[in-house]
Amino acid sequence: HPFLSPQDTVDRLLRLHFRDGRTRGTGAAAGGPGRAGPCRAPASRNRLVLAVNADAQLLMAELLKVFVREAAARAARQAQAEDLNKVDIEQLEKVLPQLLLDF
Amino acid sequence: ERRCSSLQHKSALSACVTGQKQTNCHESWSLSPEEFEIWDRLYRIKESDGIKEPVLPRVQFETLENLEETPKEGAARELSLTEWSVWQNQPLPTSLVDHSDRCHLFIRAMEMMELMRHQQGDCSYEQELQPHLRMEDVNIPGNKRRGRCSR
Repeated sequence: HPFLSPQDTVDRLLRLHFRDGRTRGTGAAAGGPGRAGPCRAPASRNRLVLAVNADAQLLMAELLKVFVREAAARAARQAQAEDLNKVDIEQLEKVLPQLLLDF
Repeated sequence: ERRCSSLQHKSALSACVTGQKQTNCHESWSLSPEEFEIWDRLYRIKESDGIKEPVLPRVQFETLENLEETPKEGAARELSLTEWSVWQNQPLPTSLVDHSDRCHLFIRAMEMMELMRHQQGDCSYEQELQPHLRMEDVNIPGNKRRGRCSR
């Protein structure tokens, strides 16, 4: 693997935060029974609770890209409005509340 | 000692990369050695940079039991969501993503607070709504005195 794969990275990042160990990406084996997690969906007893399939991974990768670009663009615009040629943490802080409410 | 270790969810790449030499633990989800070199050289915050690592504030509920403990972030700079509240009573420019409904609600609330900031005596919001109050719509607690706007 010479290069970073966005989908693998996204899958890894998502799985870092899933509460139920059976919430998996497509690559993982179907989870066994038992171990009721907090986010377990009632309809899927012995299957994966929720699978992040390849399409969803791609979508999530795209979403994260859009989020990063949006944050950068809005902060840059704020710097422009202040006649600065460099975006600093202050400009990011100014756009942050509305940015987070939009996502 | 890298400061990344103070992050609660240790970023996967720093956990991978600071421990051992980055070459043997590289998988497709993590940075390649070349990418790591670029990140290390251009983007990574180091002690010598003299800037604090930015972190987001943690969720805390004043009236509920909090599940997550709040780590003391001494060396980090916590990004503030309130420091620039005077900026928030108008929609800020967007790029590709439009403002959401809750964002517009937030902006309107900030606008309203700005208008009420200098109000003295009777609350205009109370006066505006009071005529529309129907007692059968509300649950009346112990005392029946109507509360005053206390701002």
